Amino acid sequence: MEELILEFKKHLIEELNLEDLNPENIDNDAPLFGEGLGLDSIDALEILLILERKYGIKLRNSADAKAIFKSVRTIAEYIRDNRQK
Amino acid sequence: MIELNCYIRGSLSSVQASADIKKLIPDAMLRRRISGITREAVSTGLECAARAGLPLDAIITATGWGCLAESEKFLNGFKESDEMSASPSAFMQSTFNSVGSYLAQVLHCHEYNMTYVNRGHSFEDAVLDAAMLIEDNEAANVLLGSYDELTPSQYGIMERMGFWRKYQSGAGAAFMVLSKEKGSNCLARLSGMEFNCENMSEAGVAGRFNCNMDNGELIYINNQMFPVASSIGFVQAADRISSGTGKVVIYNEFPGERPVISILECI
Repeated sequence: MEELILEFKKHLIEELNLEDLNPENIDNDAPLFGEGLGLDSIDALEILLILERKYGIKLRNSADAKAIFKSVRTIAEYIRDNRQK
Repeated sequence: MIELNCYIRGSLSSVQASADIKKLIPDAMLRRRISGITREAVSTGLECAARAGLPLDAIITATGWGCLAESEKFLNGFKESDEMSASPSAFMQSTFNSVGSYLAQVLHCHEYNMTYVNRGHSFEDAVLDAAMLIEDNEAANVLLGSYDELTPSQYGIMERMGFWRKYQSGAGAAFMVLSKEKGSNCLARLSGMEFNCENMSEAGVAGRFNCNMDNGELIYINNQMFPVASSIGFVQAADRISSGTGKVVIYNEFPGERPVISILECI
């Protein structure tokens, strides 16, 4: 699990161009949106693309997104349970 | 020849720019959405505006090819996903007017904002627009600039087409502030422009405008496959005039297009 969290953080930094951060600076359990990392709706779309392109996951029900996108850990858990590649 | 009377107060090319983008754009969340040529152009524009130190009434940018790297990133991602998804960040940065938009956002200049995309005379069209705004008293100070990049894929395509056997490639950004008043920091006066000219040799242009070639009074651009090369020429001309040259004529003949001539003079 820790390996997957690290891998996802690297994708997050690269795709969202979080140039001042490295994986160690991102708290696994901190909120991603609003407070915490302070991401916005455009970043949410970019995270959807990471899930699709890197792990073959298509989020079918947008109502689930709020719980899944809560933190790096919740996303990594969702990847672990649903990844297609 | 269109007679003009406005002043260049502060000019800068991306080669001359030296400010740290983290100081120019302290907001890391905004900065991370500015990359590649957009970053180069925005940082050059911000540094130029800071050097001029004037309140801005308009921002006008020009580009021949736009943000190619982000356009390629956007389209490649779209293709790889079988046209099912596309990156919003790459899309935002692929648009021609992203540089002007970011400059407006950072400088809080929410006035007239225009981007010209007219191949090899994009920059001259932007200059004329700025000069007309000033002449009509709709603006006193206009931040004016251009940018273009050349990606490896475009370079390769143009190489196969044989362009680099005939022309030089180029990339970069250049900005200046065009003003109604001379002020204390004026570099040069823009006195005229002529569009849709006949093709002329270097000696022909020098003869028509009585340019002293030994004194750097002519910038002759005719083999540059770099759509906004003339903007770099404007920066060089302003530098030469502020160093003592009386006037500089810029002749810009982009391959396949009618030339444009611009005249800068000492104050």
